[in-house]
Amino acid sequence: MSEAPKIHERPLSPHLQVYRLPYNAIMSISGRMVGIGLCLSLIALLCWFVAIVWNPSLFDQTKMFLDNPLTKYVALLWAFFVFFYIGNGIRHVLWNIGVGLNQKAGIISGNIVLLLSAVLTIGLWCVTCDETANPTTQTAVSTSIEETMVQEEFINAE
Amino acid sequence: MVQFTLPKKSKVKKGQKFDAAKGAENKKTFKVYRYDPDQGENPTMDEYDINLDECGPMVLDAIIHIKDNVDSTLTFRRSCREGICGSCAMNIDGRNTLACLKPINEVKGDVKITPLPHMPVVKDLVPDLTHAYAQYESIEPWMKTDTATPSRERLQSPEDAQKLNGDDGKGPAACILCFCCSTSCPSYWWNPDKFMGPAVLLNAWRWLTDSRDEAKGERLDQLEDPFKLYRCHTIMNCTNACPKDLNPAKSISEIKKMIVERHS
Repeated sequence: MSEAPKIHERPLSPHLQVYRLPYNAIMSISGRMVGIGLCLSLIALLCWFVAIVWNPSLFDQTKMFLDNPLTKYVALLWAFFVFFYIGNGIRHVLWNIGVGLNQKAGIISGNIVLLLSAVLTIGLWCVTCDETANPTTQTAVSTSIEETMVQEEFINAE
Repeated sequence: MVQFTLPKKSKVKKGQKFDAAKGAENKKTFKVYRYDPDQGENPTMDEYDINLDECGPMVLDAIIHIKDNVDSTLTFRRSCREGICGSCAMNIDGRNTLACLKPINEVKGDVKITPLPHMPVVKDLVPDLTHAYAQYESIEPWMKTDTATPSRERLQSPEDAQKLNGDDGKGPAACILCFCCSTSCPSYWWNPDKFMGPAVLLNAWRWLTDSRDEAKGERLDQLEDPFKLYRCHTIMNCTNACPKDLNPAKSISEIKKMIVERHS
């Protein structure tokens, strides 16, 4: 009697490897990743502030770090993600009550979320960086100029 | 458990190359997923250069051309070749669709063809749909009634019939069960054993919204489950993939709303 043919375990067909994710899928996965990122960064921020309370010498270093312009850009990026996450959340709530649940509307609402996040971030930039950062740097510069002038007068007097 | 990569034995290797378009001006390369269950080797991507002047306009025409003229071992499902049987569902150029409805000239560059994603492969482009059909059976897709059988058909108003057919002919009753949607859904990829998937849920909605069906409560009881229904996270790949332009995402949302209404 001939041997029965061996049955091999069936392979799994390619999925993420081949699928070109449509717009709404990309929005969905980026929403999730942003959510995880925001959660972790909030925990990190909280730990940092608690560390300052325990070790006040950290305060000056923290202030220096926060005064760095680069920090402000990172904070703005973070704000953009917050706006994006809230916007995406509102989009999902609307979907859950059956509003805009089709291909076209999904793309339109996604673009609105991205645009609004950008506008709100720029708005935040105008409010925080322009009005608070510049006056402080200006006063810092003017005081240093005054100081040098005073010093020069002092030297001249001598 | 979510596994983003393919198991070792499922990894796709480079395959053979067939040039069936020597000297042809109008040619295109088709990269086709091949798996031979008799050999048990890893799947491969075989390449076929085809003279487009010798075959019809759709991707299905091209793979029938390959089977007839280049490589008769190529295996795939097909029947009606006009988008009504749902047999030739496969992943073409990174999206699930019916090969018979996908024009070759819509694909830029080489045409990459793989079976429906994240499914066990029987041979080449033929996925094993046993589990998906069993899930379909579990929603009891037939009319269930308690009232006495009438002496003639159970009647339905045109308005009620429109809920099934849709005013544009794209209601849930137009589903051909090709499973393009379910196999495009990441939630279904990661939880195929517990989540029903968009195709089955669209059909569940088809019976829930049928004015003649009398088992609405029972059907909702069965679906009210953290996995069966609520693994849907509105990624909307289903609606994007459907070759019949139906909207499974909307149907799932309607079921969720029906459950909320029942509780309030």
